[in-house]
Amino acid sequence: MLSYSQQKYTINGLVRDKSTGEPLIGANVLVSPGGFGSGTDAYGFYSIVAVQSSVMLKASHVGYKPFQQTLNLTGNLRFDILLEPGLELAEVEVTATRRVEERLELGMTEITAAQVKQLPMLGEPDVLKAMQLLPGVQGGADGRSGLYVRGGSPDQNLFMLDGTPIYYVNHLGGFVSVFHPDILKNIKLFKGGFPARFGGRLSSVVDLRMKEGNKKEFQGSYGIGLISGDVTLEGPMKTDKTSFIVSARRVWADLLLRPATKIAFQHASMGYNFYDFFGKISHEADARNRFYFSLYGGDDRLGFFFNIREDKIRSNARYIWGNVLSTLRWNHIHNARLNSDVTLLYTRYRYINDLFFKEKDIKGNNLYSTGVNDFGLKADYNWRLAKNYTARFGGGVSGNWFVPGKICNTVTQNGEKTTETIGAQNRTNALNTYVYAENEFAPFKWFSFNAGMRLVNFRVGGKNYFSAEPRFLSAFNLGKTGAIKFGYTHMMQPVHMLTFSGTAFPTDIWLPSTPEIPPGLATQFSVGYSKSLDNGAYELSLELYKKEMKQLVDVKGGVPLVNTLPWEQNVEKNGTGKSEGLELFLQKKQGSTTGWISYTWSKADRLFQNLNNGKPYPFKYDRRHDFSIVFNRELSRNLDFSATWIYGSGYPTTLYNGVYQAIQPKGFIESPTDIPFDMGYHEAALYPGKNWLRMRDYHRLDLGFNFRKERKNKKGKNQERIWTFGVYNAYNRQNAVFYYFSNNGQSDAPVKLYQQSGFPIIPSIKYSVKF
Amino acid sequence: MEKVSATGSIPLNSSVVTEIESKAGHKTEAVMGTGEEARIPVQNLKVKILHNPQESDYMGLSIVRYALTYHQVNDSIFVVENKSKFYYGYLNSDDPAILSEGLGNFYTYQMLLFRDINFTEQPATVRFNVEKEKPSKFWLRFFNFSPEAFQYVKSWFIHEYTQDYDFWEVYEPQPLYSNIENGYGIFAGYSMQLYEVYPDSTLTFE
Repeated sequence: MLSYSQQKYTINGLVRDKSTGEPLIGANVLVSPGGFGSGTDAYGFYSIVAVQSSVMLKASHVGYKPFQQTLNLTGNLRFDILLEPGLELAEVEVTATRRVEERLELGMTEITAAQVKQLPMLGEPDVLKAMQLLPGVQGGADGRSGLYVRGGSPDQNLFMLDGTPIYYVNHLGGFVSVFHPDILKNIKLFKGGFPARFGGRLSSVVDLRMKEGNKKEFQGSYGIGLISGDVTLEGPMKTDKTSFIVSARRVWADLLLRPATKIAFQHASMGYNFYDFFGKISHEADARNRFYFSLYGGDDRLGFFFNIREDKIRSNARYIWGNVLSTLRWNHIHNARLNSDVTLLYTRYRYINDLFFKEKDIKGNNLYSTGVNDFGLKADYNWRLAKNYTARFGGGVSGNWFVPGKICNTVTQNGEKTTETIGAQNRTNALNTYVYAENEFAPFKWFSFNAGMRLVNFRVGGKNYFSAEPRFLSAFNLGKTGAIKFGYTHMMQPVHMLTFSGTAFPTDIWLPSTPEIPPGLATQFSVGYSKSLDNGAYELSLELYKKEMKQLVDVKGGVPLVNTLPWEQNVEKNGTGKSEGLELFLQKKQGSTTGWISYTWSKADRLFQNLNNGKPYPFKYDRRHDFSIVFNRELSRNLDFSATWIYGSGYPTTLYNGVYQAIQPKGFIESPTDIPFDMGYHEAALYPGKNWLRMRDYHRLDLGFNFRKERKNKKGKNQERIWTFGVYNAYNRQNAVFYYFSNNGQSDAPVKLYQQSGFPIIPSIKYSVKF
Repeated sequence: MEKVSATGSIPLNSSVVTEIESKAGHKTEAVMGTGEEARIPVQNLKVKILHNPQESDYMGLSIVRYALTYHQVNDSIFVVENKSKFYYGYLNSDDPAILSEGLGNFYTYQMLLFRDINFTEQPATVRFNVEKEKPSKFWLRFFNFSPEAFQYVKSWFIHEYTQDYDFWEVYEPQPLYSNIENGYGIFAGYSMQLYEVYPDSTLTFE
């Protein structure tokens, strides 16, 4: 049982941006003497214990001037800290910054929206592109939209926007993600050492937090780029109490593509676009209660259109896919030590393929739809029980409604309508329930740990999948030598994303575990060493990890999207995966030059009984060496420069290395009776194994410049104009996406091996105005 | 030199066709890239099969039809070659027993593959259609495969389709099934029954 002496006081409150009133996530607060520190949570809240009545309270955050103030305590104190934006002066010792040795984290990297916007861009600054520069994270080949973390597949990443899961995160081709940096405040990527409050995926958690909006004054921005345009507005609805932020972005491609294709094909045209809309209202009812409403909506839309007016023939094919997400939250400060967050959430992913045909008096409509809806409630508590002990606990329940694939066929002829529906009965409902507890305890200055447990029950089709997931993270702070950290996590993933062919582009279908398909499981061990250098200006971390995955599924080779087979029979089951690696990360967060160097050595493979003759094979995005340099330099007050260079050893691929004459069960025949089964001979390809060949190494240099100019508008308010120039793949490296054999259609010509290369050099420009 | 060996089996003729019904009709099909739907004349077929519930039966159906060939000449104009040949008919089916093999119509336009574990009645009926511009007689082939032959034919369709690299990497190359140890190839058996079918007719067999 814990007890407190009378001399101990608790100071708690919010750390905010002084100019906008925006609460700051991850700010460091320290009290001395005693040296006890606290980081602000996702709502900017801190709670810290002082052991005497006269103390110095210090706070700091990257990109803000350090704060310090003497406080004379007579009891527990609510004290909100306002941090002024601006770079800290070099000569000021940033004593309040919690160094990497002191932070109880492993496999976690935090980046800010400002960092994302500083990096060179491909058309648009992008969060996931920035993440791909971190150790242990890859984006696959050019034009791919996945995120591969420590040998995991894209569906093993849990993306949470304001605490709500979001299923579809990348627009077609992976040019940009759905997350517009202008609305984001903070991005945390967990690759290992997962705290018990996170679960549901095997490989990573990406926790994205939206801004709350300026509580002091109206402000906004708009940007016009080569591929898209965006506008963001924020401001107070009631000064210091209620604020809003809205942001919309739309790609232009269809505005040019559709007229161009119409001119080229006369009766036919095609178009593609996507849009994202974000909105958030934050209301501080009083010092203890805050309410938030967040909304996201976004779709990709691809369409093919055909119209012959003179013959009254009209048809179109529309493909629509995307998310809707909505979150209502109540953040309550119970007392100086305890705060809670209760969230009501809804998220939906859907994919629709709508074919329409009309000819004179006949019209038909074929609608294929698939998707998932989640509706849930969760509560998270944070209880600072002692100066060195914090308990976090909570739980949640969500209903998941999956539509694996429904086809609705409607034909109207001479006014008579017939409708046929296939697959509606395949709808699957699931109930996901969990509770968790974390104990963050620092018994000694040199030792701290977070021991937690997450209990999950996933109920589907009358079957309960129960999982007890222990999580453990510990840190030994060896002082000047650095810190050594250990992590152990066990995760369960009860949903699977399957990608099917048979349409014009990949179609992602989210499906739950069923009585026949158990959830995926992963166990990860990691050990790390971290040290801050040059008085905290640099952070160095080195991590080793080993991850084992079980009960994986993968779509059987070549299975098409539309078939009436239960989906469980379209997949290979009970696969296993192994992944291990070493990650090195050296980061400079402060000063006029910032950036990082990251290197990853990794090995990831998979094993399925019916694939590769039951032998292990390299994971599709297994990359032995991955190296990146990120360099940002503020050249002057108005100009900054950024460069990134990436090197990765080649991805594996499957190519044939020979052919043999095989019996062909089809082809021309001279008569139906002469050759009973017309088994002629035809060349069959010989594959030595799955993913046996390595493609060429990948490397690329991207450059970016931001020119800023500030001037006052007619109302005397500062207005900043930014010209952003970017060059993607500056030296035009021909990076391999895949290899293929071809004789260029000449049957007598020798077959040669060709490379499909990714994006060439792509310059981009964007003009933004902040007002 | 390594010894090459194989094991296979000769299938029993355990499933037999008892009735074939053929009726003219049409199907609508989306034309890729335009969203247009085309009305294609077809023969709708129902084939009744008496199967042996004690055995695992592996079956196949194909249609052979007689048609003029089309030949592409050098200047890229399609002209009719003055010669008739026998072709496989383009098959299409939404019969659950056939689609349950997971191949769908995507691959099986030349041969439908199915097993009796997917049958729910006795005799079982499989439904499919074959593209046909002009009604004339055609030949229906009914196969009893050994498990190895069935797996081989099934893998052939996938192997052939996945040889060209998929830009989106949704599918990856799939090897052809082989049951030869220390080698490649197939050692397996099948039997076939051939039926002459006329449009809009019903054939019954004792």
